[in-house]
Amino acid sequence: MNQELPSYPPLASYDEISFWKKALHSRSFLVGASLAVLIVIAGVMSLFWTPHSIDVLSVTDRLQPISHDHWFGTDQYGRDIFSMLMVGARTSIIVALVAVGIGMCVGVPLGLLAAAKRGFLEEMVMRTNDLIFAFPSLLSAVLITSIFGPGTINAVIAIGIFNIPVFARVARGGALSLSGREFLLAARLSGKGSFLITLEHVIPNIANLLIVQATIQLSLAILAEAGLSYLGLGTQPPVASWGRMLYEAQTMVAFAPQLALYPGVAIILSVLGFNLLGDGMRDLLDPKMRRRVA
Amino acid sequence: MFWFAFLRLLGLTITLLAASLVIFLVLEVIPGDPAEVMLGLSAQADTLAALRTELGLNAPATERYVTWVLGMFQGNFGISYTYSVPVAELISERIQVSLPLAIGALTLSTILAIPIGVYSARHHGKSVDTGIMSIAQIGIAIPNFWFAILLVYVFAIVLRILPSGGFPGWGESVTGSLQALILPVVALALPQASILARVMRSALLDVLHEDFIRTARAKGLSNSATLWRHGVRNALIPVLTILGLQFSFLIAGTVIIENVFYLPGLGRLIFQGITQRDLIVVKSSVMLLVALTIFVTFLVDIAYAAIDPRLRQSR
Repeated sequence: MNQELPSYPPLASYDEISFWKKALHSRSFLVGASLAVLIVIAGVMSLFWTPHSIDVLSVTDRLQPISHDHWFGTDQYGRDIFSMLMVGARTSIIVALVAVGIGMCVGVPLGLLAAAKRGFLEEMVMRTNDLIFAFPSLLSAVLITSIFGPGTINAVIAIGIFNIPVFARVARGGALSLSGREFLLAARLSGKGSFLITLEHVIPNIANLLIVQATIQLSLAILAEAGLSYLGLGTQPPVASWGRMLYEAQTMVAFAPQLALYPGVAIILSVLGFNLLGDGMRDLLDPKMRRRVA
Repeated sequence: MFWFAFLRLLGLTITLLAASLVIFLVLEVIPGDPAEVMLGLSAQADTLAALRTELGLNAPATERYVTWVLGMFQGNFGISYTYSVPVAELISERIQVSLPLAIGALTLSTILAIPIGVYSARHHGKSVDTGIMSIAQIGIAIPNFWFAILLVYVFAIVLRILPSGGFPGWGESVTGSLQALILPVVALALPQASILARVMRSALLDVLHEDFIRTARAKGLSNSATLWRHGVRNALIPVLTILGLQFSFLIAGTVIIENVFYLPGLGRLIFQGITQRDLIVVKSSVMLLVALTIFVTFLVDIAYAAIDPRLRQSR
């Protein structure tokens, strides 16, 4: 009785193939991914090369129109706008990535802990969550950055703090929705403790949920960074940031309205990109939850 | 229902207390002595000491916390270091700008978003729907302060029909004050309206798939009567959630928008208070905004339970 079992392709690759196949037909995924990749490339490239240096102020070059030399013209200090937009992309991406990273690294374990232990601990975690939610996020970011001093790092921390409850909530919700499923019961029967179960079974099953949420949070973090640096509390000159560029453009808006146009469009495109990417991935990964909770 | 409201109210009180503690502690660690900031670097040591006593800075932190919280219950918010007037007076003056701004934006975004969302859901899948939703998608991505600058350029600089900033005050000129608020309200409302329209549309689409919609149509109700009486009414629950959440965003949004338009509102008061180390002003104004947010969340929770009896048992 040596009957051979039919062989199946490994599950992961099966999923992957259908994911990319569907992705090629999803408009929001394609547009979102292209925009996001574009912004990331511009930011990474600015580390090695920009058309002009943005540290040099030159009065003679101020407010140049669009030309071969200056693709988007220059600002009132004679800096090349295209180069500044590239550096601004880097600032936005770094701040957003680290802030969302902080939110994930702190929030997800807290949410999972709450779901695994339940009871008093869960109550504590969720009430602390509610407390953070009660602070209008940008208001507290303004408070934090102005107390500890303006700057990139404090802006990252301030935005990061408000990502913690979001991820705690998503992780807990996802973990609770799995409770009672057969594969978790099987894992428990095989003698695994709740830590191992969470690590080996819960996390892989809520990963999609977290990735989608992270993408949406990235777009919110880019907006928040722009808001803080517009108020002068985020990244400080000479490092360029889109919010700061808008602040400087505002005083010039009567004479050179184009200065306000470029950074605004850059912010919109990157926020739009990550939002569409998140929406697209949500549709692809989990068709059941197509609704966006803003 | 009574128990639900009671438990919620208890939770509200605890959250308020915790929030006040957080605000107090955060402002305790602020570097710089307020008395020194007020008097400048050349101040004499004994004048400094006298001022510290006057401001109550010598008392232990716990005592100052209790005095602050109890004072707020009696409407006594202390006296501003920099303006030398009661903080309560400052706040009530500034809130006359911020409250109309926030309420105006909330109203405008709701008036815009609900019909647009319903219209879009009704034409689900058609090109109108796709078009509206694409615009909404872009609307969400637009930073309100950038939109504000754009509005100033078009309406104040090119067309010259609205002021670019500043606020004459309600006592000075009611029409002038209203005009000063138009652009800020529009700038705040647009991104919110985009989010709300999307939520309205998807909530309505969900409801329209329910059996009771088919029943309503089957019993002979017209399409639009079904839509409004059974569809929209049931779809309003998630919309209410988002409205509650948006209030918090709006409060935060006023901080930036008031800075763009130089409006003497609460957000700007807080922003200036921080830079001038006027901690009494910052402490109480932030607490007020947080309390307002918590209270709105509480109202939304209660409203839910009133609308949907199933929610009373949970939590």
